Amino acid sequence: MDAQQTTLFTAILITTFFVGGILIYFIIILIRQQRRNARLYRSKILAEITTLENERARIANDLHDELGPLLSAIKFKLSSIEINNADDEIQMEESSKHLNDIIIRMREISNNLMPSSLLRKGLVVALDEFVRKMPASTGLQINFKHSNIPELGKEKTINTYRIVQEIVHNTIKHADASLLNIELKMENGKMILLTQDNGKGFDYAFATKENTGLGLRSLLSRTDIMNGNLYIESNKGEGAKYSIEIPVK
Amino acid sequence: MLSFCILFPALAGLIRFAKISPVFHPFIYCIWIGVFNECLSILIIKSGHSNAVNFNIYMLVESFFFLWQFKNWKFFENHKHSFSILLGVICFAWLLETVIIFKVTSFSSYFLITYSCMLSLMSINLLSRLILTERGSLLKNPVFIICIAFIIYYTFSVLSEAFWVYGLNESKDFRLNVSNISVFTNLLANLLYTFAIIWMPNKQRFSLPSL
Repeated sequence: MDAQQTTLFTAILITTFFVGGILIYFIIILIRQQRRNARLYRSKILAEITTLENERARIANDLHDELGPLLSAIKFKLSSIEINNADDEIQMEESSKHLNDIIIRMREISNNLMPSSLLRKGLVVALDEFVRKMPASTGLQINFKHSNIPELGKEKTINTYRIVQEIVHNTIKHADASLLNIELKMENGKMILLTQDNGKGFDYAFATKENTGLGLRSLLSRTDIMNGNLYIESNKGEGAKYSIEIPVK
Repeated sequence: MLSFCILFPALAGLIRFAKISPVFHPFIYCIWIGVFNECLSILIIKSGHSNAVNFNIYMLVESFFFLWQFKNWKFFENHKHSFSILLGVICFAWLLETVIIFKVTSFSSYFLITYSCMLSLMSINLLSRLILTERGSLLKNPVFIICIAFIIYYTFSVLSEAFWVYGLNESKDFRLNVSNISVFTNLLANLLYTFAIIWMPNKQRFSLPSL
């Protein structure tokens, strides 16, 4: 190379290093910004979900500990009233029946809001109970399998329970399925939640694009705050398969 | 020989192809076509001819596959006609340079510059969306790694091609030195592609509708 070409080549090299430096700086800034965004997003979702769960627990406790005993006391008092009139007796029987229904329904609502077994006995027992208590009228048969699930923290236990609850409700409401398999297992230090139904499935692209409902977003938010990953495989007519990986440690 | 570093991502793609999400398949196809083009170029050059024709055709095919890949990444989701418009622009620019203005037997530098700028800008756009939607580590995100590789490789392609086009190709030593820069950016891009293929997820991860 002659002198002019050497000077030109040096200029090219300087430009190259300058552009390279700018690119490296750009990448570092991107990564830092993304980490900051992810942190903010997580803390926001965590605050929302914690508030929601605290509120649910408070309402469940109020129903169970305050309204429950009150209704039981009313029931006891009603049963102790002596009635001689046959019409009144029929009315009383009907009222007692209604009151019983209210007590049972109130327990169900309280249990749905925050199952007492979830925090006392753990995720597996609570899920087992949830699946067993699923009314036959839904027309959905649920098989629940689990193996070697360790003790999870309170937040992960609640969030995983809510995810399963959401998937079951979605299946009942939208999938038109008769069978739902749920499996909880451990793999490489991660808890894997797998669910598969035999319903009508959905167009994944359409659902991710058009979905403005809370169902899928709630699943994603809860998976996100546990640092997990959510995978959905579904096509029209082929059922839906959810796969959620949750790090245990 | 360094141009054959494309074999790294090609082999990684071959090993992982059956397992990775179909969303990334256009990228893998493009890498394999790149290997084929490299082999063809070597054969043509050894036979004493210019590899301009296959290089020009490869550039066009590569641009189609990368556009398809960006489509799979939902880049055109909010502007449905953008994909067709960009495809049309690419075809028009290629035909204009290689058929109408110049010949297919000469390297289509203007097309390369236009296409490189387009790909770099699309990558920057995708990265800006990614930093808002990705919650995990960006360094393990294949879309992020591929976009960074695109920006690095195609920015330097524009630079070296611009020097090439504007008459700085007279001395052989000078040309070799300038092309050496491209060889190293090519090596870096191929290493990044390999890492991206290794990190490609087995299944489609669910993300919010914005990406």
